[in-house]
Order: sequence, then structure tokens, then C-alpha cells
Amino acid sequence: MLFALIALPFAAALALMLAPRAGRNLSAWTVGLAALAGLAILFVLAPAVFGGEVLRARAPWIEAIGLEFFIRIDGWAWLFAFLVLGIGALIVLYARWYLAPEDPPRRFFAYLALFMGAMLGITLAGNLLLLIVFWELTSISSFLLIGFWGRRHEARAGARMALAVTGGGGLALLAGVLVIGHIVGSYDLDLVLASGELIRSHPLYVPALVLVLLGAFAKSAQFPFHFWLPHAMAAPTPVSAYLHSATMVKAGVFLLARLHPALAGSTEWLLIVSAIGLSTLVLGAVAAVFQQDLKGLLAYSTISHLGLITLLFGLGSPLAVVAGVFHILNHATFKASLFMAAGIIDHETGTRDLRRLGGLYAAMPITGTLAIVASLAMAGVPLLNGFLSKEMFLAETLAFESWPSYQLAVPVLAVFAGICSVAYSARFVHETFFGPKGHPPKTPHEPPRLMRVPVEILVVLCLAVGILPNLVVADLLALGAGGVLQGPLPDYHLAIWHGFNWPLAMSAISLAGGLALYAILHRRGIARRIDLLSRGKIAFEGIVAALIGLAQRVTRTLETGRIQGYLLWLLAFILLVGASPFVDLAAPLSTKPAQPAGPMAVGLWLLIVAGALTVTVAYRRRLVAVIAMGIVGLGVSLVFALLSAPDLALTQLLVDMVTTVLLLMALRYLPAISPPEPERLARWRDGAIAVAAGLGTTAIVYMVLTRPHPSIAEYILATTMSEAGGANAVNTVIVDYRGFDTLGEITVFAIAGIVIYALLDRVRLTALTPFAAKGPAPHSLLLNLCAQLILPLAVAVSAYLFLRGHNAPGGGFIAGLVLAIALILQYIAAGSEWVDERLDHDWNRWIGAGLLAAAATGIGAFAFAHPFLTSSTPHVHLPLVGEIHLASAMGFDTGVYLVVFAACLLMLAMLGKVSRWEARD
Amino acid sequence: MTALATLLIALGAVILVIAGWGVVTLPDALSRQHAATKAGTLALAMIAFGAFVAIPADGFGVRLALILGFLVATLPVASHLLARAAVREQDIPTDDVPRIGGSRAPD
Repeated sequence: MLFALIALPFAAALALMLAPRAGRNLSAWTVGLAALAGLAILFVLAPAVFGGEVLRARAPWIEAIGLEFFIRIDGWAWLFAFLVLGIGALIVLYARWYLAPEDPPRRFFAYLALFMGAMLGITLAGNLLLLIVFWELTSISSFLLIGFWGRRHEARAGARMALAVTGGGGLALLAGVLVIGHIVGSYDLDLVLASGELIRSHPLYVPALVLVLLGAFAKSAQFPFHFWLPHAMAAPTPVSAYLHSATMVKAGVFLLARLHPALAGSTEWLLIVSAIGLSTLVLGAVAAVFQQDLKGLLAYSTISHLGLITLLFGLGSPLAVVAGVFHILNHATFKASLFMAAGIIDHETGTRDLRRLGGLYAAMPITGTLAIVASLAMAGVPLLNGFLSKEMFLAETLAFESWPSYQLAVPVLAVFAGICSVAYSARFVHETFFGPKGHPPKTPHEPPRLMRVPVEILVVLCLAVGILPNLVVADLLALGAGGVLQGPLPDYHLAIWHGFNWPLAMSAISLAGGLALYAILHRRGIARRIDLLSRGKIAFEGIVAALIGLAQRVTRTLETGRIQGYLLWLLAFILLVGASPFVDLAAPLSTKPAQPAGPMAVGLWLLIVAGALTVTVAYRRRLVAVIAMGIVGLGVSLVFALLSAPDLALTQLLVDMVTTVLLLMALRYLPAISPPEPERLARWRDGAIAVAAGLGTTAIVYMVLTRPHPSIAEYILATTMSEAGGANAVNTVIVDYRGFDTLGEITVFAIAGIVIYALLDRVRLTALTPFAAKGPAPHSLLLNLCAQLILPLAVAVSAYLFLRGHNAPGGGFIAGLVLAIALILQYIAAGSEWVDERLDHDWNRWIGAGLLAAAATGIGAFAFAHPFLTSSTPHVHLPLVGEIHLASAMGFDTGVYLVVFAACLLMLAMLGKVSRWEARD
Repeated sequence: MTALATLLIALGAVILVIAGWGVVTLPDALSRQHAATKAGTLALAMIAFGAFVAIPADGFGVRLALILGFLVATLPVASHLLARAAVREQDIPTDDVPRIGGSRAPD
């Protein structure tokens, strides 16, 4: 059942994504039902959890790194899950009415469900790595939700900023979790929470603490990472109400509470957490007073309240922890309702700007009353829930003992923040609902009944908790606080009236001071005129722009667009890497005496050298250079034939042919003479690098050939028939022993083909060779006849080579090339238009089919519980033919065949198309 | 029979050298075609016959016959294409060249 609890929201999200069409009602019901079902499960589990039991459910995931799918529900997890699901259900109801008709509801609710599931995951995770997984998932779903109105610039910018900051924090958190795992020896939460002493006394405690805190502070928008939250207000209001006030930003403080037994209690914790919390508290409160946007005001207020909670957890005493848990609950309740009210105002009036609103109470009395009550809770007025947790907070600041100056600063600044919070609450209420009527775009009126219901429910809760705390919330609070402390609770008493004491006085000062402050600001109209600069955003955007500029500069230096440049970098790097073993070479270069070379070998050597020299000397005359390169290729294939390597000779020959043809076809679009090299220095440098690389390669080949050493050849030759089912060792190496390698190579080949397709599609080039000006050649009957005769023979030969490849020279690669060359002949003979009419295939699909065939052959091994690409050689008895000894590597070879053939044909077809476009000019 | 084989192969080699010398020294493209194709094909045919005579292995004759067949089928076609390219590039007048009836693309 515990797994069902986590799975429900994800199932809802998946269902919505897969459903072809779902309107607002269906989407809302799907997610709403998921939330309600989750709540039902929580209620079923409640008796056990309230009784002090910890519920656990485990499933293995990646044991090698210690990641386990471990659901752990104790009091704190239960309470927070209740918060997430309860507010989630209300938000779903609210969002159904909030979304405009043109917003796609299916996507919105799917993302919302995704977020709900991820948040639940953080809450219920019993394994720290699992928590990180869900942590990142919340960052991503938040990104998707903030950027929901993707056409707006501020939505995209806000989403990006939120993802960058919270994602960066997530990385730090991961590092911190890894350190904690290293200290404790496991990521299991039970173990971690019991190892508090061990962690705190370990030398790596401070780094772990700092990293975890970085993650928590980034997520909970604490100073200095707070700047993303106001910009996330570009999201639709249900998102702001759910993520950025009640749940996601609380993930950081949730984590602080969760890891309290493990990390808290040291001076470092006290200092860092309380200082950051205090500064955030004050900063947020002051900034909120001067906001012009309703949601901006609420955002900064959220930042301030989160700072309050952080400060409480920083103070560290058990009573402060209780106060922190209480405030998390209360804040979620009143802030969500305030955001929803702000959304209602925005929905009904068309604006959120405080300068344009005013006097709305007459038009929206009920909403106004609800918003006023919620603001009073925010300000900390008695008889509401905010007052109770604020009182506890103030009491804790007074009870705090530390360095005298710090000890004094905390309560003083807390009161100051209280003054500001009363001031901005007053501003929120007064400038929206009272005063002179504003100029909103739409005529305001009350929203639909069901849209108000969530706000009503939450406000009633605020009142209920405020008036009768012991009845409503005492058990829940005890449950949550007990789960955090993992131990006995301190003595406390929830009551509205504790007698005349300092906290009450501080509240009174805040109230009076805040109202006075607001009155002054309002009379002078200061608040309306000040536009605060978001320094965080400026810094962030500056950093991003600098990074992009750096990346562009580096790219410009390396990517010059000239192939010579790339080749230079490549060869220089290879030289560096390859030269290092030669630096202190102790052994002699060769240990075997060289054999005498026969006249054949010397002759071929001369041929190849002559060809290479021709290319180097005559490189500017491109036609000559290409033909000389072809001669070099032919010479190499003859060398292979001389050394009794028929497969290699065949492959080299065919590849040489195809390459030469394609090069010549492409040469049409280049000038016949290439421009001269500009600088002599560059030529000497390039020559030196080329000669060095060539000499180095020669030395390596010489050493390999003249130093006998045991090689894998014996193993392969011994087992090729028995284990791989083929007598041709070259082929079995390609498709079996090194099959994974070949899979990578055909993937690269496929990518090259598709890139050429993308580059040449719809490209218009002018043929630059002077010969091209003569127009297309007249058709030659001789050539056509020849091509027509050769084609069926070539098909037969190709099939023959393919089928015999496993046991005799041949194979998929060679067979594919043979067929490709026969079709090249057709292209040359009849023209690309004629051939394309008859051979109109989408070669991209063939390439894909080939890759699929190869991969499927590999995956097929899984069905027999073997690793990827294990081959088998069954003997198949066909009725008429008799017994055939097949090898499953045939499927792989088919894939190679298809990819090679289709990629060659694709390149050919594209070049043909380019030439047709050119002819039309 | 090795004497006959040696004679044939030697003759083929000599003709090949003459063909090469012709390709280098002849003045224009069309005459070079004569040297390369006719002399070249003849030389290769002689070498093939010589190999056939010299090695009395099973099936070798069939292979050599196939090789020869392909040579005779493709070398002249290649020469025809090169000649055509030379004619088009250098605008050599071809009014007095007999034509095969209606050279056009097959349907």
C-alpha cells in the first residue's frame, strides 16, 4: 500500500500524458482523485503512525551504489504528506476554474500530478539517494510548470533561473549526501538518523553540512539564493500557490527538519542556519513592503517566513523545532489561501498591480473578507494560527543563548521583521480592497462559487487552529515534532493566552509599529514609487551571459569552418598522445629480423608511394589528386591480396571505388584548381606535423610487426568454428567477437548518412568545373546496356557474398557495397532522375531498419538470459532444403548490410538531387 | 608447356609496355584511347591465356574465362566514355563519326 501511495500521482500523470484528448474536467478529476485516494491511504495508515509506529516498505533498485526504493513513513513524513496531498487536492479544484480556455489542461494537470508525486517522494523517501532523485524531479516539474505559458518571455526566464538555482543546489545536496553516506556507510535514513554523534564528530562533518545546507537553502529561497522565487511568479497562480508557497519551497526546510537528528546540535549548524535564516527573514520582510505586484509581495513574504522557519531550526532547541514545524503548517495554510485570493483578483480584474487596484471590497465582499482574514494570519493577529506560531517563535528568540551581541540582535531583528510583515499585510489589504477605486482592465465581480471554496476551506482552518488549537492541531503537531526530533517532546502548551509576557509585548509592538509604518508610507505614497532592483537576477543574468560569451569565443577559435584546421588539431593531438610512449623507449624497436621483401612487394610499395607523392605535389589540381588517391587505395588492396587477406582486399577495393565516385561527384561544386596556400610558414608547419605523424605511425606498425607477442588471434582462430559458428574469422570478429564495436561503427555511418541528407536537402549549388557548363552528357547506349547487364549479376553476387560471409570471404559490409556500386553505375548511366523515379525509397528508414535489426539481434540475447549480443548457432532443419547451420549473427550482418547499402544510396541520391536543382537554374 | 606460358606472358608484358609508352607520347586524347584500350586489352588477354596454360588447376580456366569476359565487356565501354568526355571537353568535331541509331535513354 505504501508503494501505491507514491505511485498514484505518477500514474495520474502518465494516464493524462497518454490520453489523446482530455478536457478540464477530466484532467482535474484524474489528478484530484489521485490526491484524494492518497489522502484516503494516509487515513488508513494514520492509527499506526499516530501510535508511534514507523511504516516501511522496501524494493531493490540499484544495489551497486546503495540506492534502494525505500518508503518510510514516520510522524513527520505523514504530516508533510498530508500537507502535500491536502493542499494539492484544493489546488486541483482551484486550478480547474483558474485555467483560461486556451490553456491546455491535460499538460497542466499532468505536470501538476508529476510534481505532486515527486514531492511525495521527497517526503516519504527512506533512502537519501532516492530523496535526491525525487528532489531533482521536483526541480524539473517546477521548471515545466513555471514555463507553462511558454510564449511569455518572463515565464521562460523565470523557469530557467529557477531550474539553474535549484538544480545547482541539488548538485551540492548530492555531494553532501554522498559525504554523509561515506561517513555512515549507508544511505538508509534509519541508520543516518541514528548516527548523529558519529556524523557530528567526523572530520568531514563541516563539508557535508555546508553542501547539504546549500541544497536546502537554494530550494527554500534563502539568502543569497532567494532571487529566483519572485521571478517564478510568472507561473500560473495555482502553481505559485502550490509549489512556491506551500510545498516545493518547503522541501528545503523539510530536509532541515528531517536531518535534524543527524546534523543539528553543533555550533556550525547554529551559526550558519540561524544567520542565514535571520538575514532572509529581515530581507524578505523589507522587500515585501515595496512590491507593486500582488504575487511579488506574497513571494517576498514567503521568503521572509521561510527565513523565520530556518531561523527556528537554526536555534536548535527542541521547543524551537516544535515551533518550526507548527509554522510550516500554518504558513502553508494561510499563504496558499492568500495566493489563491490573489489569483482570484487577477482572474476577475485582469491585473495584479497594486497601483491599479483599489476599492475592490464593494465588488468582491466575500473574497475580500477571506483575504483579509488570511492577511491577519500572516501578520500574526490573535485568534488566528499565525499568531500562535509567531508567539512561539518570539519566545524562542528570547530564550536563545549565545554571544551577547548575537543574542540581542535576534529578538530585535525579529521584532523589526514583524513590524514589516504587519506593514505589508496592511498594504496588501488596504490598497487592494479599500481606498479609492482603481482602474483595472476588467470590471471586478465575485468569482465562480467552486473557485472560492478552496480559499474558504483554508481560511476556516486558519481560524479553527487559531481559536481552538488544542482541539484541532495539537495531535498533528506532536506527531510531526516527534518525527523530527526522533525522541521525547519538550513541554509546551498551545494556548492563545499565556499571560502578560515579553512575546506578547513584542507582538503588540510589531502590530502597532507595522500599522504606523504603513500609515506613514501610504500617506507619503513612498511605497508606490519605489521600484526595488532585483540584484540577484542581474547577477544571475550576468553570469549566464558571460558563460555564453565564453563558450562562443571558444567555439569561434576552434570551429573555423575549414577542414584543414580540424585536421591540424586532430593530428597535433594524436602526435602528442602517440609520441609519449616513445619518449623513454628502453627496448629496441624490433626483436625479429626483417624478412626480405619480394619484387611484388617492392613494386606495390613504389606504386603506393608514387600515388601519395602525386597527391601531395599535384594537390591543387583536384581531379588529378582524387585519381591519385584512388590509385593509392588500389595499391593498398593489392597489398592485402598479396598478404592473403581476401576480405580486407575486397573491402578496401569496394570502399575505394565508392569513395572515389562520391568524391568526383562532389568535385563538381568545387573549383577545378584549389587556391594556393597563403603562407609559407603554415606549409612548413603542416608538413612537419604530417611527416612526424607518418613517421610515428610507421614506427608503431614496424614495432607491431617485428615484435612477436601472444595475441588474441590464436584464441579467435581456435574458437571461431566451435563458438561463433563460422569459419571466416574476419567476419566472426566483426559481427560476433567485436560485435558491439561494429554496432557503434554502423551507428556512426548511419549518422554520417543522415547528416549528409540534412546538409544537402534543398541545397542549391552551382557547378563550378568548366566542364559542367557543357550541360548534361547525352545518354550512351553502350553504358546503359552494360549497366543493365551488370545489375542483376551484381544483385546475385551481393546475395552470394552476404550468405557465404560467415564461412568464406564475404559478409554484410562487402555485399552492401557491391550492390551500392552496381546502383552507382545505374546512376551514372541513366541519370539520377531516371533512377530516382524507379528507386524512390526513403533511405533514412532503411538505415533505421538496419540499425534496428542489429540492435534487435543483440537484444534478442536477453530473451535467453544472456548479455547483449551473445550469438547462438542453431541447426535448423528446413523441409526441402535440409539441415542448415545458421548463426544468429546473420541478423546482425543483415543490419550492417542494410545500413551500409542505404547510407551509400542516400549520399548518392542527395548528390543526384543537388545536381538536378543545379540543372534547373 | 611452361615455355608457351612464359612466351605468352612475356609478349603480353611487352605489349603493355608499348601501350604505356603510347599513352605517354601520343599527341591527343583520342589517339591515347587507341593505345590504352586496344593494346591494353590485348596484353591482358595474352597474360590471361599464359596463366591458363601455366597453371592446370581445376576451375582455374573458368575463372580466367570470366575475368577475360569482364575485361572485354568493360574496358571498351570505359574507353568509349573517356573518348566521349574528351570530345565534349575539347569540342572535337564529330560530324564524320558514324552513329548508332538514336542514342537516347532507355525507357
